[in-house]
Amino acid sequence: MLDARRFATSRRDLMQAGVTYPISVLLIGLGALFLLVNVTALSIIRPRADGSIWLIFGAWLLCVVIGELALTRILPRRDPLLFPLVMLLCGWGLIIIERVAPNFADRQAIWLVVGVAAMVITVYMRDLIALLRTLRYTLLFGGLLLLTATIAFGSNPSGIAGAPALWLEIGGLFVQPSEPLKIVLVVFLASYLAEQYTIMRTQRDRFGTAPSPRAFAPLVLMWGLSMVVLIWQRDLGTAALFFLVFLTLLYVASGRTLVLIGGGLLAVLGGTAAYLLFGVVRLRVDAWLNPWLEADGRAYQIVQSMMAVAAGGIFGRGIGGGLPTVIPVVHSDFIFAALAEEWGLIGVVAALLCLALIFMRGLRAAAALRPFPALLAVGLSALLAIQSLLIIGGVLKLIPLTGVTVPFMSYGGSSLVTNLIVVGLLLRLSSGDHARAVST
Amino acid sequence: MLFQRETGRLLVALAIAFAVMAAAAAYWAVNGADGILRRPDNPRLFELEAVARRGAIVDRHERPLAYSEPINEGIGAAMRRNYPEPAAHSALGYFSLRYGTSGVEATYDTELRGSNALNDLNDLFESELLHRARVGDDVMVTLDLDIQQQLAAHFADLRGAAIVIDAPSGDVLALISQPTYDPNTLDADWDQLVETPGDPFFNRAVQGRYQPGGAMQTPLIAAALLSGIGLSETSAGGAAPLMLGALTLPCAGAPPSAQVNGDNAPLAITLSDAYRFACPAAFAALTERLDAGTIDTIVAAFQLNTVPTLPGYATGQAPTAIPTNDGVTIDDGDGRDLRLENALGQGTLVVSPLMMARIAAGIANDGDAPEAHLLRAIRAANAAPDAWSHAATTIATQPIATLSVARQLQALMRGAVVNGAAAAADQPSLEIAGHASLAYTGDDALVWFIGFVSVDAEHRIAIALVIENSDDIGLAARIGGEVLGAAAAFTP
Repeated sequence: MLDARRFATSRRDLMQAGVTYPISVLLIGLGALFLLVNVTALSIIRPRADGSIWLIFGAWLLCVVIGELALTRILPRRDPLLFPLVMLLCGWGLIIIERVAPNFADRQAIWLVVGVAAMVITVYMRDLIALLRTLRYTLLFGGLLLLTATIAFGSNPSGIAGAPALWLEIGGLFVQPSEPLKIVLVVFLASYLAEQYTIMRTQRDRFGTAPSPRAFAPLVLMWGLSMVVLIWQRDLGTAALFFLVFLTLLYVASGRTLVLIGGGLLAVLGGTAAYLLFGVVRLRVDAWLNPWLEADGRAYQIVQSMMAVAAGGIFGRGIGGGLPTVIPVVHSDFIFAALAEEWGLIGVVAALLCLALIFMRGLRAAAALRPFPALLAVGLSALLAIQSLLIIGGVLKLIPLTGVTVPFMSYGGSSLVTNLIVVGLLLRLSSGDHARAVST
Repeated sequence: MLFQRETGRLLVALAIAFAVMAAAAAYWAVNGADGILRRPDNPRLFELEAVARRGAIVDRHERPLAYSEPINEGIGAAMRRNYPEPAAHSALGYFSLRYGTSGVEATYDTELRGSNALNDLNDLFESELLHRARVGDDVMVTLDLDIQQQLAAHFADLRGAAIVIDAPSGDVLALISQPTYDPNTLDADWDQLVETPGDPFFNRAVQGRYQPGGAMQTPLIAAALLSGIGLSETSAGGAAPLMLGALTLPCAGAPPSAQVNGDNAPLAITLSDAYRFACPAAFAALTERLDAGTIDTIVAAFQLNTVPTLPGYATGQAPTAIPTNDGVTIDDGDGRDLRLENALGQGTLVVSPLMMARIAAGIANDGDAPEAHLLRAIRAANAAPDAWSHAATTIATQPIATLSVARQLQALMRGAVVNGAAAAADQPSLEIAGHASLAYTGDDALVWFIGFVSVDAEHRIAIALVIENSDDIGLAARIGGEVLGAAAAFTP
């Protein structure tokens, strides 16, 4: 029966199986049209002799077509919105990178191919989720080992002395271990909490007792891990992301508001300590509180980013019509400012809607699942959403800057491949077809 | 269903967070235009200037003197300002994104830049939605490229200035200041130019403050005519070199009467000959005969104590140390009587070529000096090729002399060309009138030439030129004559 559904390929079979085939194709078509218009405009405004912009678009088209075909074949009952939305953001990101930093676009296109392949493989391995759960301690150990290795031997591809050393160089390829570590941590926490949540919840009604160490031990552990990342790597973004995602998962599993209060206090404590102890954190917070004092110095990036957003206005300057290139590393952390300048508020709202929809569809996948897959879906969706909010909030001066990427859009191979694997996992979870080995 | 309450709350919380992001973006997008985008460190302001198509500057026959053209399309687009006529460089000033504007480019900057005004829906569509670059108005100046080229060719290796004015219209037909600079390569040359001796950025024709020297003889002889002193009255020793302080001031030309009188004879000379040959001693004697009030009257009438304005150029401060209403008599610094020094153009009174050109044009125009101006017409951005809107055509003149005095001065100046120090200015078949003279500044000499030519019954063209570090009076007269000769072919 399962095999029959897995390989159901006739249209009638698919419809019977509840496959919303047309909507994903429609979305992909609309996305492709949007990108085609922009690619055409960019190729007119700035003709590149090698025509590489069309190669990049071709690569994206190949990814989206083959990805959709493969997903339909492997997973007919998946969420129909996730893949088209993710691919739209990936393609949009590629075009922005091509526009603001053409030298990085070719590499990013290759990473997209790798990432979509990784996503398809993730989806194809139907027992992967069960396997992840089984191997959670091994994975966690491996992940922490990788993190330790980064702390010890890390480097920065830019080669600038003093730049955060968040990368490991493996055979000429720079990998950011904190990216795959995100998945490992979410898998670990989901499986831990899937075992503990009933106990946490039954303790809820006990009156006047101290919080259970079952709830607080992992909280303190994760806080400690975040602080290690912050202290040793000066990676404010990853530390904040780890901690917030964990807090979310713990709250969802335990159902205790107290967790949020305690976590909030710990975050404030850690944040204050970090502000007092680390120059990099103090810089970010100072530049956030009053960027105008040092608009041409330490706050240059954030001031230029706000100017880009303001210059975009409601309708945007149009692709190639703005000046987002004055923002340092605009193709990575500040890609959203470039989007705001050239696509305007309309583009910003569209991209935010895509990200929010991806999050909602991910959460939706959690419904009607058993505890581990449900928590996994919540954790992975929250991972994408919180990461988006952290960097976009920073770019818009709502919160201090944290150096994380905009999922699917920013330049960065590790980040793109990791996030596409997350999407693969969410797609698999959304189909509900992973249950065989997953019990409890 | 598991965790329903918590996931529901999480969904709401993060949905609110996303909405807050959108609201923040909306705040900057709507509020930024009047706020942070106006900050001077917004690189977009510079970019806006770089891509704007500045209006062209054309001469009176629509020959381009300055225009902007795109050097790059699309991303990284920019405009380059071209100045195709080297002859006109010193007359135009410059436009530079880095160093700003000067000269004509500065005076008509508002028009040349164009406005951001949104007059109709089409403007709104073009600027707010399509983000088309701003386009400026074209400016037509009164300069005539042919005359300008003549002048520039003569001044190529000289230091000094000249200005050619049409009477009675007051149109500036040509203007030059040497040394100058190439506005095409201003950004690259700037550091070197600011170090260049002689200050190439200084417009000598308008802002120059030169010793008038013998150029004061024209107002002085006008004062003599006003006082009823006859032009044939003889001045004993009037042709001899004059000792004024440490200076020895000889005649600019060689008067025939001086040759006749021989070596030790008192070099007597008539006033008209003294003017023709620019002999200072005779004018020193004249100054002694004239009362101070007459000299002050003539200085005021010839507007030697006011700064002339020439729209198109900064005029700088008032000429040095001339008490505006006290005339030339008293130096208000230490109360010394500088009447003689100032009357001979070797005192505190200094003049610009523009001031002298106005006097020449006033004499040529029978006593009414036209107000010089440079703007001829403006054509709105993107208007039809012939849609020039001409500047006000009313001719503003200032009376500087009566008709009879002006006519006598015309005859004297004609005489100086026919047989006098300005003989080199003579051109066959043309009635060129002029006066060439010398002035001294420290160890250096200047030569002045002022003159005019009749084009037709009511139409004259006047010139004033000064050559620095030179006592070659023939050179000044020859340049003046040749430029006037070229200008005589001019049709307005």
